[in-house]
Amino acid sequence: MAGDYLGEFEHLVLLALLRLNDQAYGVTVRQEIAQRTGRDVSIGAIYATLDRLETKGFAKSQVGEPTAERGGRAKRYFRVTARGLAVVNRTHDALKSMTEGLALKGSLA
Amino acid sequence: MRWLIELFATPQEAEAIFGDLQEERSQIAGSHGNRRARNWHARQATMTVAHLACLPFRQSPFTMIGLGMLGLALTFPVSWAIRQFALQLVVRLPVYQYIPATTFWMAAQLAAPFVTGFLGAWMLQRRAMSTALSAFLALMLLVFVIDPMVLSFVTPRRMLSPGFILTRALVLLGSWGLTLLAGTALGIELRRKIQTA
Repeated sequence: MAGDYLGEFEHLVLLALLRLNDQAYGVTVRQEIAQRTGRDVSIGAIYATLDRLETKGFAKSQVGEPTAERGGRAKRYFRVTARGLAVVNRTHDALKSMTEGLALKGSLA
Repeated sequence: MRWLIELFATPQEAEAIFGDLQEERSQIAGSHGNRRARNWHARQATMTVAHLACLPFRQSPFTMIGLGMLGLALTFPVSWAIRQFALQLVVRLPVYQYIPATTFWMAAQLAAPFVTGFLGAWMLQRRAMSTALSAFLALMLLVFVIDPMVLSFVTPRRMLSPGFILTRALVLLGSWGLTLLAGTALGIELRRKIQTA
């Protein structure tokens, strides 16, 4: 479908949501991406991307209970929708297809 | 920094961001100490403001440039309307008995960018502050590039020193530009207060 594509960071965020399952909110998504990719991204970048994914219908959010460790503020949990899962698979297939047969590591050395 | 995040994020987004920042800061304070947590918080908050401010420019740069130029252009009819109103006020009421004429007319002059920014905050919702920044950049282009070019045609060359051009540009940018940003910030703040009340 036209417009059903993912940018690199959107792809990473959706994969983080899938990995974290029902524990996906700003802090855990940021830490998951930092641990697995070594990228130190800002909370603002995570929320801007999550909002965009929600607008596109690839993710859905729900507000959790406020907790003391957050100064009485509620967590905003995110999960991947069926459409989001389909677009992750499509992007993954496209990447696999494009990299198939390429010796990427050290190929330019 | 908190106030800046509130200016660029939606209220729901800001709430979640503040909660996340506090939660992770507590985690870092527990494992690495308060100083490192404080530094982490300051860096994260700065990165977040920068990201939120630049986001509309990255998503739709031409729309943002257009909105900025439109915002700046709007200050001119607003300025005209305010001057007409101020003129009527002076004709009908003994205004100068209470306010010195210079102060009154300076306020009338600065009311235009302030009112434009304030109206923009109500009309544009989420993109308001970034649009005000875009208008500020458009004003910079106007005062540092276009205005000196026009001046060089209409003013005798001996009167146009670099110091004069720079001072004129900085005064215009400082008064109109900063007042536009202040009007937008106040509009966003007031809108948030009304929404949460």
